[in-house]
Amino acid sequence: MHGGGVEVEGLRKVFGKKTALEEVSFTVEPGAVVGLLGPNGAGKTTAVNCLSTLLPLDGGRASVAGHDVTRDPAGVRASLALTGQFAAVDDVLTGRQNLVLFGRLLKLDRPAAAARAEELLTAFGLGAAADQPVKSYSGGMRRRLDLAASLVVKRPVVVLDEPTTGLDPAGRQEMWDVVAGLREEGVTLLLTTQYLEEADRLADRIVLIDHGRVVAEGTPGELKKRVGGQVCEVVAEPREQVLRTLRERLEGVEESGGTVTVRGADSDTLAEVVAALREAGIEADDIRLRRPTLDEVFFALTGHRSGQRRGEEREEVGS
Amino acid sequence: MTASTGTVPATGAAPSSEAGLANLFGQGLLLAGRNIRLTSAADTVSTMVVFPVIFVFGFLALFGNLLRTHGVDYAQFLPPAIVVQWMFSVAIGAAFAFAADRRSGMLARYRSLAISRGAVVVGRMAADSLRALLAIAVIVATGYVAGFRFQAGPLAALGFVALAVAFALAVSAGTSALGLVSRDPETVSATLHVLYLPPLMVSSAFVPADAFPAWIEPFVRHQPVTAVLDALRALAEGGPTAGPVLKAVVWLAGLLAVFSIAAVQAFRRAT
Repeated sequence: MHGGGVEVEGLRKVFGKKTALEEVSFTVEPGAVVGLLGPNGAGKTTAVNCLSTLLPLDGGRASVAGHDVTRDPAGVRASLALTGQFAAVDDVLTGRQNLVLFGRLLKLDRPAAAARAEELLTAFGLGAAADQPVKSYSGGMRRRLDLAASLVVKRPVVVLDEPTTGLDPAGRQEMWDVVAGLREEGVTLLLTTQYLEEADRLADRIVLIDHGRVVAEGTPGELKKRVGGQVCEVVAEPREQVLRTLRERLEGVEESGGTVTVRGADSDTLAEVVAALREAGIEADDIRLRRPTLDEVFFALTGHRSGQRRGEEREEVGS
Repeated sequence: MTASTGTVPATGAAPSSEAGLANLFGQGLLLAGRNIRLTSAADTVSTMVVFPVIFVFGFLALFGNLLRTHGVDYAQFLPPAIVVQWMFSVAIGAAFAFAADRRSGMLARYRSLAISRGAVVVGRMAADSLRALLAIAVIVATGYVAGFRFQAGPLAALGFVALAVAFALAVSAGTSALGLVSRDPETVSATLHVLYLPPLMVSSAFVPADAFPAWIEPFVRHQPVTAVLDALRALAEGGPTAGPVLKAVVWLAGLLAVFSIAAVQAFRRAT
């Protein structure tokens, strides 16, 4: 497959004794949005760095828009726009100066670089702050400028490494709007995230990685289906008694986030729960069936929670 | 907010578009301009102008009379030492800048762009050379006020400047290797400020080599910092210059070879 896609096959990367990536394979079809989802230290950034020719591969192969990252790294760089994990823009320069510099580096002449900077500043809602130094920008504005900087010259493939890590809800929402815009333009997008909600919302397909390995892959819907059935959620007090009562009669009973859940549930499960609680004399505030969240998918597939709270430290990139 | 990114005339993006000297120097100069814009004017004035002036007059006031009694014209002897000290300072600045660019992700971004592979290095070297030239100009001008003179003609004076800048760049290659493996500019800078002092102190920078105790004098005479200082003084004062300059150039070439290998390795791994 050529065009603007990404292919990764059997990718392996080792730092000293630590294996960061082992047999990682996935594909991003041209025009698709794929989310590389995993907790801190799963290897997401390492995979991105291998794809963008920043790190040599220790095994397997990868290509971007048909260019092999090892044999034709220059071809890869000419096809890929990387927005890294940190908002890499110069603080003392203005937003406009940052964008013009990148344009000039990528061989736009002065007027073209200026025009492109203006266009991007307007499109990304930075017009009013265009001539202020970046150090006065909010986190969300920095991130948007960062993304704009990687789009100064159009590339068929855009890679976003944790685009919303560390942003407040408003900043995250603005970033999502920008990414949704890119998607509508038909740009091939690979984005990494530790937020299940983000992958669910932005990606056509999710590649779940954990400890350097792909543990699952599919559409958000398929992944949810793999957990098997639905989840029965019970809101009732006293919690301890509810747990004990349900565990006597059902499998997969857990407590999470203030509610009691039963995995792998169906309507029979629901009836069973209602009956059990009535026998024990417990009055429930709410009992409902719903599809599992990606967090529950992650737990079911990897045996542990993704365990990420927002705003936690960023993924360490290896030595 | 609309997120349309519009269209831009697609660059042909031929794989070879990164290569070539035109890219190396064109993009290198753009990055040099960026590096210079990033250094604050206030900081440059204090570290590259005020401090060297204080050092030249300070050391002269302290040791000038004492060394005259030993037959040393300290106004002529001292400025090359301050030049060398400031070349170390330029090199430490390079390490700081690389570590800062690594921490902020700028280095990874530049490396991911379809630009000449050496442009970042050329940009750094050009900006550092400019800082070095500024420091040399300030120190030499201050020296002139105190009585320092280029006595061997304009060509030797140019050689003096060229050798000093070459020294700054060779040392920068080594310090940059350290800056590139770190993400912590403050620590790198603090470490290097400690590391550079012994080779400078245990050299002919501030007193002649024969002022050292006999057991360490051979080391003082032949270590690279002394070699560079001897060559700088020969270029300033005249007399036989070929020998000292050759010795300094050989030292610099050797150091540059070793440091460059380390720096290139570090640069290729810097993400």
